[in-house]
Amino acid sequence: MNKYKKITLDGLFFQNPTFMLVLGTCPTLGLINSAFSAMGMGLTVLVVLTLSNVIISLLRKIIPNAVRIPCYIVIIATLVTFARMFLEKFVPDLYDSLGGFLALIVVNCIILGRAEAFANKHSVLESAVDGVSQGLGFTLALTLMGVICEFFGKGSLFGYAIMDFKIAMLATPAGAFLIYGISIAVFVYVMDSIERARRVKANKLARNNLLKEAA
Amino acid sequence: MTAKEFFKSTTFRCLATLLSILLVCGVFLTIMYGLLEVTPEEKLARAISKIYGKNVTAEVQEVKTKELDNATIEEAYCITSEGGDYLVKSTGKGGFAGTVTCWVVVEVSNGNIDGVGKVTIDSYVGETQMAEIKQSFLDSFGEKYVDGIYYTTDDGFKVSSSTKSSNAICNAVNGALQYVKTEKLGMAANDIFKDFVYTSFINKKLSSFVLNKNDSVSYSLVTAGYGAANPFTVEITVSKDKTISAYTVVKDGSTYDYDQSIPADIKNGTKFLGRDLKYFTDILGGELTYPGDYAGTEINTGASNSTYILFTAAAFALANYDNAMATKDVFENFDYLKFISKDKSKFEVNADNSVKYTLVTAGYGYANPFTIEITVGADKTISAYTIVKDGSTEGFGNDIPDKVKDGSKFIDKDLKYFTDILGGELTYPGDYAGTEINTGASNSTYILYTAAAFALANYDNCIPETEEGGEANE
Repeated sequence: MNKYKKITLDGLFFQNPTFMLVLGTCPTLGLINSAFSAMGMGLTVLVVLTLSNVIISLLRKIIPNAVRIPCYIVIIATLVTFARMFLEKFVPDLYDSLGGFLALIVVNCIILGRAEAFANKHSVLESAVDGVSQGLGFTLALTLMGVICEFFGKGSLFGYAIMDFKIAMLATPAGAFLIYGISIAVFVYVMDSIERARRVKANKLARNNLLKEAA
Repeated sequence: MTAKEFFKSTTFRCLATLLSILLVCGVFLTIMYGLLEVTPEEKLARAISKIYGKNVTAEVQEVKTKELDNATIEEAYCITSEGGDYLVKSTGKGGFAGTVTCWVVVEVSNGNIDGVGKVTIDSYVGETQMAEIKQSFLDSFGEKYVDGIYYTTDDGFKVSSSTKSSNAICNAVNGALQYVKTEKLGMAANDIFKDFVYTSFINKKLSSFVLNKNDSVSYSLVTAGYGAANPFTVEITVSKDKTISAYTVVKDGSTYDYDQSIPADIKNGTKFLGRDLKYFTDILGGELTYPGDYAGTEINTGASNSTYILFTAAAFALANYDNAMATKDVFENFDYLKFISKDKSKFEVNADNSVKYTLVTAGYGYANPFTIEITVGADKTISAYTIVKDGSTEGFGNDIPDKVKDGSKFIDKDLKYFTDILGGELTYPGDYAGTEINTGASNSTYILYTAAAFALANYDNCIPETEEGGEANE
């Protein structure tokens, strides 16, 4: 398989940071009561993650191993501060809705995790693809759960009222926790099924090959 | 370790790398801050535009009294591009377990409040049912605005599943109205019940009184609620002899059919007629406390809560007769008021229908205020004139002619005498050389002449009229 395709599929599905690696749970639980906030957080993380992966990959041969974590943190904090400034200036509604979670991106495990586990060891292009795919995986997961929570919790979608019926509890962090848990279960089940099907197909192919050789 | 070894060491490399990254990041953020800084003016414009739905220009207003009875005024702006409307950020108290902060647009024109333009929730603390507060509820403040009336949950400004939060929002809107009314438009603070007793039994914002010409006081009172009884609205008139001459229950606050149990003579007010304060304090005590054992008292009617409220309203009206009368503006409708200090001046009508004034004048030029006693006879001429306190400065008092100083100059003079000299407006003559006030102490003399003119011009206003009739004191 093409390595970029593998990186992309890993980020989106097989190593999805939210559903498979269960990283970045703090903003997930705090923001998925609104689809707009959830998508905004996801896109912000995507940009910060991609830029930090690129910069860290560029500097991976310069940064001494002993101080790599402080260096990563400084770079990520700088990018997050820049993202905050940018959002406050140009997207103030999103800036207001993300609140304190925006600053907390600095300590988001996905970003530091990808810097340490991937960007530190791969080329700039690979790191950029990894940042985009991991960020997209995070964004899609948050947006999906945001849509579910907002629709059933508030009867609206992206702020637009859809219906009067609502289950208010789903718009609270406790409801978000419930939706998050159910989403992980469903996602893991689906991924497991796909993986099992792939394995069965591979085994079948191998058996056929063996039978052919024996014949 | 030598310097050379140090510079080749990993330690130096680590430090240099880390510091370099820090430096680059710092420079980058400094540049970005310069480019992306959001100024306080920009933040304010954004917040206000969010409320108005369009860009407006605003000026920050000073808030002198932040803490009101049931609200805190956080910020205030005058929206200059919208004809001088006010935008007030007000935090209403009395919520479920906290407060609700609202932005309130108060529409103003010609120095009066036209209405509530918009109410927007800014934030809340300790409220759990805010999701029940819909835009339609917030819009109702503007739709149902009536001048001078403050919003209460009793008047329907509530969301049934979020009554306490509704109350906090009402308080926030009322606070904004009160701020604009008192601080920006310079109207009276509306505390006409200042120094009154038993105010805890009435709603001060919704109650009022008028002074009648026959020295009776007519109250329109909205009471507090008690137990099962909601607030009542009652109209009570207390006559000069400090007894009740009229008592009408305008709005019965009884709940659960308790109104059926209120005796007819209480309901129609006849029970209260001719009663004095002692009658009620004998029943309820000096503090008007709800009797712990009320079985043997007159409020044991089967609707004791409602009856108690009606009794406390009567006691309030009687106990505050003197306080109400003290608010009377004795100089109401008087002419030439700008020449005297109303707060320090007084008059009394003698048995022979002469009027004795004790006037503290305004100052003029070099002259400070004078205190003068003037008596005007029934023939509307001055019969006595005494300077009690000379306000002259810098020795000008010596230049006042003796006849003016001892008052004899004014005896038997009528109003025309003074208006001929000073004109109908009692203006200080631009060319006073040829006039009587050219005494060498013309400022002092001018003051003494205006005081005489004031006393003469207002003789008729001092004599009480005999016919009856109400006259609003507010």
